Parts: sequence; C-alpha cells; structure tokens
Amino acid sequence: MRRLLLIVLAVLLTAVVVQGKVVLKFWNFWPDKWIKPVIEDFMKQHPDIEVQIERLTWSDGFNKIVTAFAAGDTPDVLELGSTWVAQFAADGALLEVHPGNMLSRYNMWDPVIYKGKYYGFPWVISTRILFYNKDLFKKAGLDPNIPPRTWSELLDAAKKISALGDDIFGFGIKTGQYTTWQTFLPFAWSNGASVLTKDWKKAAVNSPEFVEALDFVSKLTKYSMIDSNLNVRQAFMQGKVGMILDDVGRIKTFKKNAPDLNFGYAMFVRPDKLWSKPIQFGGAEVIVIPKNTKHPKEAEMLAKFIVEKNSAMAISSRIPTLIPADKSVKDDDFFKKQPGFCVIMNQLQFTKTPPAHPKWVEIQEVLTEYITQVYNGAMSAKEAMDRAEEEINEILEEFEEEYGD
Amino acid sequence: MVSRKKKIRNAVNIFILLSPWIASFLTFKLYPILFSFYLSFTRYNPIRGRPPRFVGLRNYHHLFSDPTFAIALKNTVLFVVITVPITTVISLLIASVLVSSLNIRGKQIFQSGYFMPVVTSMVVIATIFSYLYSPNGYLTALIKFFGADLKYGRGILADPRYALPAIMAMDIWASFGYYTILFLAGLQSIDRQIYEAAAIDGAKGFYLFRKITLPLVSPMLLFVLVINTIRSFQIFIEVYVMTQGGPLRATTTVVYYLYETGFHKMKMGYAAAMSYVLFLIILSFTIVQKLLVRYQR
Repeated sequence: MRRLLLIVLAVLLTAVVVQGKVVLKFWNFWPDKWIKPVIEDFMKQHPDIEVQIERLTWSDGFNKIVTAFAAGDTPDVLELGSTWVAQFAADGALLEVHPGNMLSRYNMWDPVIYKGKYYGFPWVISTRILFYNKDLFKKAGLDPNIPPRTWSELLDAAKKISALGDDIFGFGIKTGQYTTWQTFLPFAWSNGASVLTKDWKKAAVNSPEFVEALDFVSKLTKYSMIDSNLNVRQAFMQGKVGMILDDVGRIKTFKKNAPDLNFGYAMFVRPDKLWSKPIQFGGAEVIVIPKNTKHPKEAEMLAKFIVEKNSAMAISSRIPTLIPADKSVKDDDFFKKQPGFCVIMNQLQFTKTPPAHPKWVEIQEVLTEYITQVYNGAMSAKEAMDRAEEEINEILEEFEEEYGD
Repeated sequence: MVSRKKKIRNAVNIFILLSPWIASFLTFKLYPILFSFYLSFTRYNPIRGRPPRFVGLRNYHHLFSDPTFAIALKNTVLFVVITVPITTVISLLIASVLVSSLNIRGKQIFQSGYFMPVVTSMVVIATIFSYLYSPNGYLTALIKFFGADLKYGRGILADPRYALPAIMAMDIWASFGYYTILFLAGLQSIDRQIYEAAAIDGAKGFYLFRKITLPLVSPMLLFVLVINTIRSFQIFIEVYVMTQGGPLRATTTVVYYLYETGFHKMKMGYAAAMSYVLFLIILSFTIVQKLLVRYQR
C-alpha cells in the first residue's frame, strides 16, 4: 500500500516538474467569450506560455482584487479601473513597466503614472459628452440642431426648458458618492482649474477659477434635476430633462432603450472665455502587473499584447464607445462608421483624469461634502472651497508623513 | 444499557457527520472573528503586502475623537430607536388582528402579502424605492403635498433632513412581515380558554390585550425586540444602494462607515476596531432589553 502511494507521488512530482510551461493568470471584467480569442492568439505566438483567464464582476470585482492582494494570491496580469491604480501603485503592489515607444502611440497615460514611473498600460478609454432632448429644445424655442457650446448658452437653455413645466428640468446634475465630483470637476477643468497643485503638495480648490466654476454650477442647480446617476438618466430617457452629461456608450443604448426619445449629442460646453476648452472626464481600463508575479517578463509581454489595437478590439467591437487607447484607431474603418465618431474623437482630445493621488478617496470625500453644501445653498462657493482647501491640505500632509520620501 | 463501545462508536459517528459543519464554522466564522479581534489592535493596509503592524489601543482611542464615527453612531442609534418600536408595534397589532376571530376575507392573502417584502431582495427594494424617492417619484410628490419643503429638482434622498427617515420608512415596510409571522406563532400558542375565562369576568377589548395577551406573548416580544435590534444596528445594504452614506453623512451608519474605512480607505485595523465597538454596543442593548422585559413580568 505504502509503495503504491510513493509511486503515485513520484509520478505526480515528475509531471509537475516536467511541465515547464509558464502559466500566467489574467483577471479581467469581460465575458470569457470575448477575451478567449485574444488569449488564444497570444498563446499561438508564444507556445511556451499558457494563459488562464478569470472573469470579475463589476459589483464585487474590486473587493475580490483587494482580498487577493491581502492574501498575496494575485494574478500575473490584471485589469484595473483608472481611478484605482494610484492607490495600488503607492502601496507598492504593482510592478513598474517600461512603455518605451508606446508612450507616443497610446492615449491616456496619466492614471498610471506615480512619482514619475509607469505602472500599467491603458487598454480601452472612454469619455462623456452632452446629450440633449431635441423635442424639449423645440418646445422651449431653441434650435434643436444647435446644442449649447458655452456656459452661458447652457444656462440659457436650462432656464428656458425648466420653464416648460413643473416636472420638466433643464439640466441634470448627477450626485452620489463618486458621481458628484465626476459630474462637477469637468466644469472646473474647463475653466483652467485643478484640484491639486502640479506637485500635488497643496490643494488648489480655492483658486478663483475653481470657485468660479462652482459658482456657475450652483446657478445651474436652480434649473436642474439633482439626483443619482441612474435616476437622472432614467428621467432623461423619459423626456423629463433637457440636457445631461453621460458616457459616450449611451449613444447606442438610448437609441435602443428609449426609441421614442428624439435626442442629439455634442461635445461638452466650455466657459465663455477666449481660449477655453471643453474638458471632460476621461476614464480608462488599465492593464497592470501585480508585483509578486513569478514571471514578470512574460507578464509584461502579455500585457503589451492585450492593449494592442487588434486585441483591444475584443471589447471595442462589442462596445464601440470603449475605444482602444491605441491611437491608430482614428484611421480604423470600423470606428469611422460608428455614430458619433467625430464627436467622440474630438472630445477625447480634451479629457482629463482626476489626480492619481493615493489618498484620492479621502480628498474626493471632502470635495463632495463641500460641493453638496454649495448645491444646497448652505454656503457660498468661495467659503466652501476655502474650507475644503484646509481639509485637503491636512490629508496631503498626513500622506507625506506616512509615505513621504 | 448501551455498551461503552457503542457509546464511543456513536460519538465518533456523530463527530464525523458534524465535521463538515464544524470545519466550515471554524474556518469561516470563528477564525475571522478572532482574526478581526487581533486586527483591531493593528494598522493594516491589505494591499501593501506588509503584515499588520501592532499599535495597541490606538484604533480604539482614535474612535473617540473621530467626528464621522460619532455621526455614524448617532445615525445608527437613531435608526434603531425609531424603527424597532414602530416595527414591533405594527407587526404585533397586525398579528393580533390576523389571529382574532374577526372575519376578514382573504386573511391568507394578507398574510402572504405582508411577508412578501421580507422574501424580496433588499437590493431590489432599495433600487425601486430610490425611484419612488427621486425628484419625479410618487413618494416625493406625496411628501411635498403634505408640506415638506424640498428644494427644486431634488428628491427625498438628496435632502439631509429626510434621507434617513426615508430609509427608515423603507426598512419598516420591508421587515415588519417577518415579525408579524413570529407574533402570529406566539399569539396562536395562547390558550383560548384564558380569553373565555376573562370574558366571563367582564374583561374586554384593550384591557384584555394589556393584561392577558401582552404578558403571555412577552417571550416572543423579547425575541422580536432582540433580533430586530441586532439587525437594525447593522443596517448596510440600504445605505450602500441608495445614498452611499450621504447626503453630507446624513445616512452613514456604523457598518457603512466601517466598509468605507476598510475597503475604500484601506484601513482594515481601524475598521476591525469599529466592528468590535459595535459588537459591544449591540451586546449591551440586548442585555438591557432582556432585563427590562423580565422586570415587566
């Protein structure tokens, strides 16, 4: 009996040793059906590497990732949302990567840079644009083919549409734990303001440009519906809101889910200043490599392969408004034919991401609190931002003490 | 007389049959509870890759000066103190009506109807209520009709004064059915003859209820109070789905703040300390409730 056991063990051990193939684990948020062809392609080109994919769900994927890092049991290649990367990079959980000439060939590197080093590759990117209800525009006496381009035009349109009825709102301001600042910051960015100073050492939320933007949006609240992302979108689809900001993906889903809605879309609005640009929120899915991977070289090869345009198409072909970060996209026929291609590509020239600061979660908490106070009329924009600046500076100091070099 | 050998054999068999459950209890319940206790004395960032760092009572100490924790505690206690009595009273009254000899048509339908919110996923209920509470929602219109002054374009959940009561109302609606069933069981176990005897002595109506029903149903009453309190102290899903602790922290509960601290701010040690403080609070409340009910008897 014992001898049999020994033989079985010996066979198993040899099998494991002889295996020799490098096995990489890749976690992502997309259906296996989509990702499999990409992986099979990779394995064909690299027969000594085997890749196993595992799918994460949007509802608890983040928790699963955090748990995996805590347990030290991480995949070799991982997809992260762009706003999560900074925290992981600062905590030393990610491997530094070397993009080389990819830097000029790809968009949206901002979210993966931490202290001058790169910690991931942008995979697919997206942004937000302005959607407006053409029927409501007509009713309010506005030209349905000319969407607002500037802040004053936006305010004017919102005023006129709100006057149409008790249950009709001119604009939709989205609020929520992360939604509030995501909806507001583009106004500040378009006005030339930012949350932190360039060196990230101090808060810049009480700069005149920032306060001006907040003042403007608080004027807008008088003619807006203020509710969660889902409810505002729902109300827009029901024809109750004149204009909202939403992801470019809605171009298709509004057509499908609200076929009676006569809507148009355009780039975001900009302040009525001469050189201002309509800067919107740019988001990305990023491919990163956890630090304790046993095969860093192979992992980096796989990561670079995944973000190439042809591989990124696995997602973009199904969700065309998640565009590959690979710049060669703009000459691609498939994309040229998509509705809104021009608007999307134009808006993508003017996107910004929030500071990839590891304490961003706490910073945005302060921001959200004071923005909400201003929306509620409890404080003036200037007063709110002065207080916010103090509190954010405290957070930044705390961070320097803890992680400082 | 069962032989010694057989007794041992029996015990071993029982142990083997129970072992899967014992294994899962130790791994998934007992171990995390103990590990969490240990974590509460450490500083631990789960993704940093470093082991937890021992800091003694610092986390607990910090809780005393944490204004957000104070707010979370206040909101949670408010939630418990308001929803538990209301839910208990509603469910007891409804159960009494259902169990009485009043001939209401479709009693069975009511019974199942009251229980339906209980078996519906809280996430579903919260999502639907968040539409009802939205600026265009029915409940918002109702509140405005009764004079609530909501700012233009805003729903109930966007107003710091009404957000928590709104969640309380939803929670009461969603949970009373469960306690109704429990009280039904409790009431049905009371011997009819006691009522007949009392009726002969001339007792009726509310007096009957106070002097006979209430004392006899008090074991079930204690049970309902205790489990409702324990559950209400841990309110999380409604907040997570509907308001994420806002607006302006008006709906942040202890468990929600704990989740934010542990999973968003990566401060697991601090979150663990919070969970143990909550445990102690729930424990004290439960003991007090037990004593009170016993005193009433």
